[in-house]
Amino acid sequence: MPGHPPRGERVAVGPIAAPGPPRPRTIGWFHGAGLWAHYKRSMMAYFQFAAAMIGGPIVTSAMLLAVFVVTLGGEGEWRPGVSFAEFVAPGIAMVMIIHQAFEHAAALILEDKHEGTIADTLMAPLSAFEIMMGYVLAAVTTSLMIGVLVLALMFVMIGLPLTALWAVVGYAVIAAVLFALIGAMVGLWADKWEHFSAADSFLILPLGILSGAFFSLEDLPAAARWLIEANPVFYVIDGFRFGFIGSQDSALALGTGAILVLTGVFGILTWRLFAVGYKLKP
Amino acid sequence: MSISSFQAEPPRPRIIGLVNGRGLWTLYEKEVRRFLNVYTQTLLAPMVTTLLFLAIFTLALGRAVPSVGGVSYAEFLAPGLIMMAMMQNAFANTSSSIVIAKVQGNIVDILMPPLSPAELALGIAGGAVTRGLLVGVVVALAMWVFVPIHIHDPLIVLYHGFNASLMLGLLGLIGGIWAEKFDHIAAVTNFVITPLSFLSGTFYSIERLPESWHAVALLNPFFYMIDGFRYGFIGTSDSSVVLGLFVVLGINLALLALTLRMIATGYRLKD
Repeated sequence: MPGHPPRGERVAVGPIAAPGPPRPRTIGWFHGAGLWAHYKRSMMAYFQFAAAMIGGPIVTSAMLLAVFVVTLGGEGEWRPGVSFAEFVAPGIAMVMIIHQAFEHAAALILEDKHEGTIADTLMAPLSAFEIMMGYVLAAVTTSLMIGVLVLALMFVMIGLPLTALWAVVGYAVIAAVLFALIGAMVGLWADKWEHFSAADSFLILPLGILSGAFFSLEDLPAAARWLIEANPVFYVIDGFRFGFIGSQDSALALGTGAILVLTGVFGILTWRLFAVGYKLKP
Repeated sequence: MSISSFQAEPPRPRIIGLVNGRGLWTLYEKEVRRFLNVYTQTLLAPMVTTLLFLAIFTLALGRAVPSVGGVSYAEFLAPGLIMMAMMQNAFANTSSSIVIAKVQGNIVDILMPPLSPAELALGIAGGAVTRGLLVGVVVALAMWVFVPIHIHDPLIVLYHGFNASLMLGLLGLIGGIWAEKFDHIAAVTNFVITPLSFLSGTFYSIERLPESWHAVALLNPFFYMIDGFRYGFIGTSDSSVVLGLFVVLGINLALLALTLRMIATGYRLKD
């Protein structure tokens, strides 16, 4: 930004600075400062309620894991050398990650629409892509943060092993992005909080729970397996879990490819929805 | 009839006797309509969530835990899950009602009318009991499709269902009065209600716990409601059924007294 003095520096007044008329700031093809401001604001909107929103997933994860450990009394083994608790812990963490990503993106956009503050974002010189990225990146950040906290708790509770860090980080990021995009679409579509809750209860929760997070495909009758195999969450959980215990239920490469394609499609779809102003610009 | 005969009587204030029946009913009706208006969130969502819980726990644990107390794991689990759904919803009904009314300021609409503290407490808690029992019926019917549900003692089922809804309704009322913003009530839900309901013996018989934890489990009031409620279905229990009846009744009377005191003094309501 030529011509602008750094912040805090005194500006000379008088004959030395004979300013011309104010000139519009030139924004290149990518408005980095604007995206950063939008992202920061999306994060701050979340941290206002952080105490309430961080406590829930952490306590629930601890309780779910404790219930599994107590009910099985440590005797359950998923596969030789892998206790059932070790099998289920990554699944619980992943369910919390996708739920947080969805919730943050959807609730933030819906709140902005309700309060009318969405206008501030739409008026700013931000492209549809930058608006989408601000919301999505903020949701991804907080969901990964929840993931780290829940996993730290799991390490303390059951001493979870770690085999492949790349898989843990990679699948967590893909899942977070995918569900932040779904959250953004739901946030755009929803007109009231009831719609948000309905999407949460009837879409996200079933996807998260019927995903092989809590049971292995082998536990299901063959006729019901397609239900799990058609669920994208199954593949992210399977890969994520592979990063910890080193074994998996499915062919990872195929599932991962499918998830990446799905994320790409949803990314383009969400971007188009922001670009045409679906339920944003009457 | 001439017009003058209508003018003969000036309007008189309504005489309210010992109980303001119409006022109590109006408040109760408002509380019930509040949740019925959003039945997808308040009745269908708990039903779906509970069915999903039933699915994961029977699938994940059913293989390793073939039977508990003489019945299959699913039959053991079902009453506890029904009870958990009832409790969460009863708590949510009163706590959200009070906190939203306080944050939005329309709490004056229930403080101004001629309603005594007891009428306020009963009207609001009555809404929670109604929601708890309705959720219980809806969830039980949905589960009945998947799990054989037999009722051993309907009176015990009704007693514990009613008292659990009332207890959580009163807890929600107390929590809602205490809370000054949504964060506070979320903290009560996350750090008090969720742990107490998960660690209540819904998912396991407390005999599975190590000896030292056994005593701790018996200190959890939710344990007696889940255990007694389950006894009403399967006919066996972890602890004395009679003791459970009294524990639940005692806690409810104490909570009712506390609620009445809070409303009467206007604690965080009228300051």
